[in-house]
Amino acid sequence: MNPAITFDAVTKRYGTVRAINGVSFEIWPGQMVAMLGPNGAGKSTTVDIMLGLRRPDSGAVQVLGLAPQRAAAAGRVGAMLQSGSLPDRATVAEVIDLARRLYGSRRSLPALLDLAGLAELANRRADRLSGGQARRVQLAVALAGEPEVIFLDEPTTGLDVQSRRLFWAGVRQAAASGATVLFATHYLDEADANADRVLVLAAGQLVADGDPASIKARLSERIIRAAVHPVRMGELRTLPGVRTVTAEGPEVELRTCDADLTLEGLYRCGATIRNLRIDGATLEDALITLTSQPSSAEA
Amino acid sequence: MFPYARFEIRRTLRDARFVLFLVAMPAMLYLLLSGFSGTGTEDGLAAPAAFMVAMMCYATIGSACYAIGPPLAQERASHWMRQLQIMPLRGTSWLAVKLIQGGLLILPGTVIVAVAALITHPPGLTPVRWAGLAVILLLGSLPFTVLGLTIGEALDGQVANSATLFTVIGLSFAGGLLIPDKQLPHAVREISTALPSRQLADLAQAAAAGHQPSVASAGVLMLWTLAAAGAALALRRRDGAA
Repeated sequence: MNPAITFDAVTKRYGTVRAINGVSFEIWPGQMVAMLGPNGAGKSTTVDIMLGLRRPDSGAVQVLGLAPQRAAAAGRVGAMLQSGSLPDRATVAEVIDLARRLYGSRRSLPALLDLAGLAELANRRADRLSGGQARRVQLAVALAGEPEVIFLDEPTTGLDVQSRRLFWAGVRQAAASGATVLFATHYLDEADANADRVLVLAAGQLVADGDPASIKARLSERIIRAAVHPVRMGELRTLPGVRTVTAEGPEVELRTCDADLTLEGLYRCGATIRNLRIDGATLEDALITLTSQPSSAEA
Repeated sequence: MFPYARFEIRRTLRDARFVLFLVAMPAMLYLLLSGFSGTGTEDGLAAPAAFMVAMMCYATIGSACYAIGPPLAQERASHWMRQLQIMPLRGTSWLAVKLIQGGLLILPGTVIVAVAALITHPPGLTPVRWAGLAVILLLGSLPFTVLGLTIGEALDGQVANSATLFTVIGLSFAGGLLIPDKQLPHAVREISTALPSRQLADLAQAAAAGHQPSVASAGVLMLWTLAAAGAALALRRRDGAA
């Protein structure tokens, strides 16, 4: 079996900034892959390169065994770009019908309207929709040609919970026919719920690649802060689950992959503990941890 | 290609500014001012007929520039252009649709001027001269469509709107369409021979008067078309797959 998408040592710079730097991966047909990372990680650049909208400075990219532009020109790729990519002064039905016809009428207009839950909005102007409705129109455009590869660039940004659920139901229905789906997101829960593989990008590099459960375990770090007396650093470092310990006077910060176990150990070690707080690390924080462990790039 | 052309033309006709300023305004100007255009003749055309031709040229320039430029600027900003680029629509097909769109969208504005003239001051053109005028205006829309593309590729949003308006009014004024070129300052008249608006006006007047089209005028229009097309393509490459 040939990969649906191949990235081989791809680098792209804007001026002096390296948007992506030596990124390599292969995605297999039928996979549903999340590309996770904070803003500025290089997700959109990666999607743009896969779509042929930008050319890499170095490295090789193939989509369905073709140069990205050729795969798109052949109508084998569908994509949802970041929000707002709809024309004004056209109705929902007109926009979707145009996309459908450009892709050679592989799906009927009513079927597409149904698939994206837009039947009742068919005659509304596409530039006068709520965020969630507009995203569903973009989804219908992306799916209009029954593509073999579907790219979704932060598809649910700004959507409420209900709209997100509807949206992913539509994507899963489309992917059921065996399409390869790659979506960029900065929500860990979204990657976890919808992908069977997660690529983590940070600062233009691929820092992790694995199934959602293992990525989640590595990213769902907690931060325990407390005033501890006395502070015995050596002992704190050996508490179960603890990854790093920093102290400033009596104030101690423990980063842990299992807050329950760490707390149990902390109370057992006999120190006085006051003013205890537990926070989830932000995705950015977690990614900094990951990027500082270069070995984690192999999955 | 055909579905895309239909989609674009339908969308432009929904633009209130387009309909008001470019479909209705040349006819309104004609109705308001043709009574004052005098009784003389100009290059073998009665003054009201010459004014009709000028207003049809103005409608052509405005419709072609305005139908293409500001919407393109807006579509680049909203990323709809990027969405189109990844769909199976070749760049050459896209360009062909834009040229057809510019050509077809001069029809409402010019036809309404002609109808207004036929009702108020029948210009008395033979069918052959009407046909010649129509061909000149359709082909003459090309440089203005391509100018619209250049503006839409080069400028963003509101700036593209203003630049289009400035271009249309400036070219129409300097080309002697809004006031007779005999009343233009000498310097403007000197420069205007290099402008596509002036050359379109000359070609259209000649067609309406039954004269042979001037090769030099056609050459100027072609040069403008090629130069603007080159600029638009260069700007497009800067934007696109770089």
